[in-house]
Amino acid sequence: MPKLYVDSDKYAREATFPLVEAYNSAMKDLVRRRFAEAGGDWKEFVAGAAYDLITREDIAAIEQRLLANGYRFEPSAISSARERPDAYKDSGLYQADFSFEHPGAPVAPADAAGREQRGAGDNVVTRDHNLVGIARYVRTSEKVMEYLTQGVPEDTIAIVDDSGGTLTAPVLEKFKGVLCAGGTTRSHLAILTREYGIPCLMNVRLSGIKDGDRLEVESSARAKTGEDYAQGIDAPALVWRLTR
Amino acid sequence: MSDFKLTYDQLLETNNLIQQNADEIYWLCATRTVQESKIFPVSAYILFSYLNAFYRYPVLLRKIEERMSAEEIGDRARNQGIKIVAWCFPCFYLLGREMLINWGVIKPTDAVEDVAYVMDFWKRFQLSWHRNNGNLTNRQAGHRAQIMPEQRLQVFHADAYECRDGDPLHKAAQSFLAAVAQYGFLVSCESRLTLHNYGPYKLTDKREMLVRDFNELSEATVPWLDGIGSEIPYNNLTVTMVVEGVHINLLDDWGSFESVPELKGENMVAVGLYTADTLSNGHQPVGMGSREELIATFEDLTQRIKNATTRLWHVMANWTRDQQMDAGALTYSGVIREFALIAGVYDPADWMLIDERAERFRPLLNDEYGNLFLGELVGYISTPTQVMHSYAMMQHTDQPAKSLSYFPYSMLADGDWTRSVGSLRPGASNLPAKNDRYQTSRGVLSLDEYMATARDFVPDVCQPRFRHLCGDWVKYHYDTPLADELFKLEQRQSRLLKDKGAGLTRDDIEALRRAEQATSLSPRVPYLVMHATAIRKHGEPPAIAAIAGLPLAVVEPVLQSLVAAGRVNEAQGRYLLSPAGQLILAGNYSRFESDLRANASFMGAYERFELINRDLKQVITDWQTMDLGGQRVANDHGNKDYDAVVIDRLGDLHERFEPMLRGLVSGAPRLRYYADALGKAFDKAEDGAIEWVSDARIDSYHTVWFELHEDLLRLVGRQREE
Repeated sequence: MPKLYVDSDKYAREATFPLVEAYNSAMKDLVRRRFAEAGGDWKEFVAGAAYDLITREDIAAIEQRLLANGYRFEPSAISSARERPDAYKDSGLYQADFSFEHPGAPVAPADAAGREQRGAGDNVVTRDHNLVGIARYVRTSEKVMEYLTQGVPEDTIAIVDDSGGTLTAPVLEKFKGVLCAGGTTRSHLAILTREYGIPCLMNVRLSGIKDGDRLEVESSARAKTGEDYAQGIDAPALVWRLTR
Repeated sequence: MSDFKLTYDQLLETNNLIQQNADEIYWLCATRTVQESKIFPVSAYILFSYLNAFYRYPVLLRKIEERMSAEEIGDRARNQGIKIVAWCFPCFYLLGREMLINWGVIKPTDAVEDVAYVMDFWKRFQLSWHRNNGNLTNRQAGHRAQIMPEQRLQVFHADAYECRDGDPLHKAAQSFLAAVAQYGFLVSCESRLTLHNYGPYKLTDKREMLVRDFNELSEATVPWLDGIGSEIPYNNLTVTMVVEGVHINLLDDWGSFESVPELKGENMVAVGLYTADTLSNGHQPVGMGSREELIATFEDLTQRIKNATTRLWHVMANWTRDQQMDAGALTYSGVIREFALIAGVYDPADWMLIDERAERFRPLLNDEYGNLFLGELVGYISTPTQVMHSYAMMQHTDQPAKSLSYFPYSMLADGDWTRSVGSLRPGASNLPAKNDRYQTSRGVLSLDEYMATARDFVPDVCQPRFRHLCGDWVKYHYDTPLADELFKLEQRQSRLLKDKGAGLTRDDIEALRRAEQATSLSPRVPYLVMHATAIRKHGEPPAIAAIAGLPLAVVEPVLQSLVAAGRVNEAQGRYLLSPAGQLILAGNYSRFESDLRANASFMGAYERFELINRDLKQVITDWQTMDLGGQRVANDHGNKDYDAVVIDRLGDLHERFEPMLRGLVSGAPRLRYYADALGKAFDKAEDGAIEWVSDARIDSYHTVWFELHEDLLRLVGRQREE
């Protein structure tokens, strides 16, 4: 079996993530085998035979081997898991009683005012007042479609998975506030809520907040800046569940 | 066969260009999180696009250069604005190379002529595009993007309309910016490739200008806007945004900016709107004929964009994952398709298909591998090909790594290298085919018409006569007819600068703006400002503007000019008519209000006001004093029942007064201010904040009533009866 150029590498270690290492070594294995089959010179192989010998079927087979071993992928896009439930993990998108349970979400018992701390996040813009509203998870295009046709319920503080601007694009303007489990105050969603003047926390870590809970969000907290991220300074804005 | 020869200096230069991109990849990506989306498999499509770029760019760039050089494209791009290309196109290409080296599919010594050519094209384009600042990238300029020449900046500066937080233009511009940014993220599949910022440019000690481009809004090159973008009459829009009280301290090669302190809505103090494309002579004003036209234009565009956003969302949310992958990957790898549009050689088969050599890797690109491999490539810089010897310290992180593989110099000795990935191979897409409608500044054209027009078109400032008249030439030749001609080309559609020529300085432009604010206004405007100043004595500009019924952005400069003209005195930001000003104003009422005084229905409403005014005075007297054993004593508001009765009487009176108010407002719409302020004060008083009945230090019911009375007396020309 011929060696590849990258097979003798004085400094390299394996890729950080097992899936990356698994796929990349499977790719190298495939190239070695096809190069051996083709025989001859690399120069002729690389921009010629390699195009026809390294096929989509070969590459699909790599995935099949991993799935056959019981591996399931972490989904990002709704479509990925919807189209291939056998290849992706279930991330609870359609689970009725869902709540984010982020490891390390800062929680505390109810204070004198009945405010029970259930998490924290990075404040996008400092506002004059804290925000009070009703928690509603917005995690699927079906939910957005429902809001589009029936209207967004009043006082909705939308809890969303990711920092993109597309899932909630047609209804974002109608939210009273947004809690986003991903991103930073420089992400697309942060830019959009800033433009629309909607209070928003990014990178929230939450625990025990269910659809319909009344929340208070510390939108009066200091906004987290690019500098804070660069220097690793934590500037949490708190999220409380209101128990009365 | 090309005559490409490998030389030491070429390898040295190419590796330098690679390294400049390598340093920037880490910085740009580390200051963002990985882009996430519930709709799009973003990381996966990004990796897909890198592969497509690697296999296609060399051929497509050569095809463009057969028609137009990279340097000339740079000139055109500077003239018309262009989507983000600076970092994207070399890095997409080089990261595709990096992926394939990691997979063992190619060696760092493969496609050497291609890589050297793509980097050289990039260098020539960038240097030409950045001609006015002499840098290769925004990064090299200290994260700044000063692309435009003085003559264009002067027009932007001169013609921007003043606006203030809360006024109609400010609101309309803010809503537009939010809507168009959101639409842009959607059009570009959750990326920001259709949004770009340039600048900052210094306008005054306190003001800077950002030039903000929003591209790919209408039916043009991407098939997913067919039938959706058709209601939006411009494919590209440029907003000139003047900010005050903040400094734009960073504008990176992704076209995004940061400021100190953080930019807020209220920092925007002037705004303009333009469109530009491959077929236009630079930036053409849009809705810039008047402030009112600009407000209406922003509002109309915002509504069209919101409608398109909802329709596009429906389409995208129902796409298959393969369609999402294709659209995202083509948005990315197609980031430089504008080069082909400029050169007149655009073909959807080149730019809107995934090359079969990239397509075969699709099954590898699931969501999780996409996120993790991309994270290693651009965030952790941890894939095996990126690891260096342990003494090395990478810029920014000091880790022993480099983002992008170099050319090994050993190729010069052993000759072990290959030239190219070869010619274009067939491509495919899961998306519907593009229709033959391309929105341009010359209307909607078919592709053939568009490309034929593009091939024939040379913007005036890119004609041989002007093309090389740079800023340094202007510095020493501003007083020549040729310089005047150059500036007048830019000034053709300028409201303030038409035919002004090359001699103006930035301060001259500021003076022209101030003069316009003072003189182009109807004489009624300074009259109204003086009138409002007479009513709200020692008033601050927002209150004066509210009473005058004018935008704050108009009132502030008028107050300044009235101060300069001796009509108004200013102390600590508060304004009062001067003695001469009082006399001038008194003489103006018969001039400006003669129609109103002849308006029978207004005068009837006024007479009824005088009658109800007596009742009001009684109610306020009963509020301030009460009968105690036959004596009138001050009401200490200890008797809640008594107070409640008086507030009820005030409520009855307010109800009776409302139709009269409507009669007054229909004659003089400006008086709506009083209707609103009286309603607000009464609501607060009724809710228990009793100071809102008559406290003279706030806009209480009585304060506002008193001012309304004063206003009416002046309008109708009577004296107060006391």
